[in-house]
Amino acid sequence: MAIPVNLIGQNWLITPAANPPGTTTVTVAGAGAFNRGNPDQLWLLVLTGVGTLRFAGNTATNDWLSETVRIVPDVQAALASVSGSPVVGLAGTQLAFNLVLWAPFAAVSGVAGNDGFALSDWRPTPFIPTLVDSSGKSVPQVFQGIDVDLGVLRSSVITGVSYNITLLGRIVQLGQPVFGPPASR
Amino acid sequence: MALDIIGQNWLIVPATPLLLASESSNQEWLLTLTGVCEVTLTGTGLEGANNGWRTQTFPIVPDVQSPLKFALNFYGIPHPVLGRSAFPVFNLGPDSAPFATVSGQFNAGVDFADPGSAFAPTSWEVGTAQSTDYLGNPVNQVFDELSVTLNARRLDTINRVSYNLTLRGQIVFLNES
Repeated sequence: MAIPVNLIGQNWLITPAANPPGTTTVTVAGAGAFNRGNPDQLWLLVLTGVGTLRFAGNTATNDWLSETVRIVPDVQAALASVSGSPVVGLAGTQLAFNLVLWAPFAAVSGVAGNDGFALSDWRPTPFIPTLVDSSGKSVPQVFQGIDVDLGVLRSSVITGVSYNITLLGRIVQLGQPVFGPPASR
Repeated sequence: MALDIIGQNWLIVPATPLLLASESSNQEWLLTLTGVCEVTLTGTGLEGANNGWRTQTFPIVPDVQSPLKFALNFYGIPHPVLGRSAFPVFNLGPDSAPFATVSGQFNAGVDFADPGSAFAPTSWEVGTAQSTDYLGNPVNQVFDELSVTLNARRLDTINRVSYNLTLRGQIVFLNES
């Protein structure tokens, strides 16, 4: 079970991305109507932020201690800003971002008692392949955050991590809320 | 010798509305490359030269073939038959936004934290090369590598460096021969 990171600062940017040929593309004049209705539109979403945690090494040994931490940015505010829909609709639907491409990045942003630290890898939090949207269509790559592999040596304590996540995907309405309320921004 | 990349991701998207097929050679793209690399750089020791500091520049060569081929297929971009006579590369525009940082370090050879050890990334720079495309036209800024300069002091050993590149450019095709 990945350790959750307490996010203390978040930013986001979202903008339409060009669609491949054969799909409907947003136009400026029709943006309002499009935003509420075009499920094909691709969006570029950039999420940045910093969070705190306490991941302490084991002073009783001379070995590295490894752990996976989970960063769960608020994407719903960004999606709601362009979709024209509330984060959670009257029928209990919830906005989410179904990914086409992803390029996460994370870094250690705070260390105390530094004997050594390591950030070895990152990846999207495992998708839920059985998820469906409010119309019953499969949305198997809904973004839920990223998992980051960290290590500490002896007395080191990692106290902060930061992230910069670039995502390409489509806004979807899940049939029912799957995720908790967004963190404060 | 380029650093070993132990994990990498990429994302590519048109930087402007998709151009007509007849103009697709002018299409500009936004390419994001992220990853973590293995590196080894240790300071000059407790009594080492240069006040313990050692500096070295390391090349990082991410995979750009995969995102470029994805973009060509996903967006239906007309292109020559890919192979040794025409393989895609990324020709950079005038602006790019690289970033790199130290993602792992420890004190080598001791079981205590040396208070004088330290580390720092000094700089990073996108490296490009000049070439000619498969039709013989000059291409002046083919993405080649990210060069990262690191510093380690005394017993400090840097063992991870990570990167986040945002690049804007065009897909061009080179002849490997």
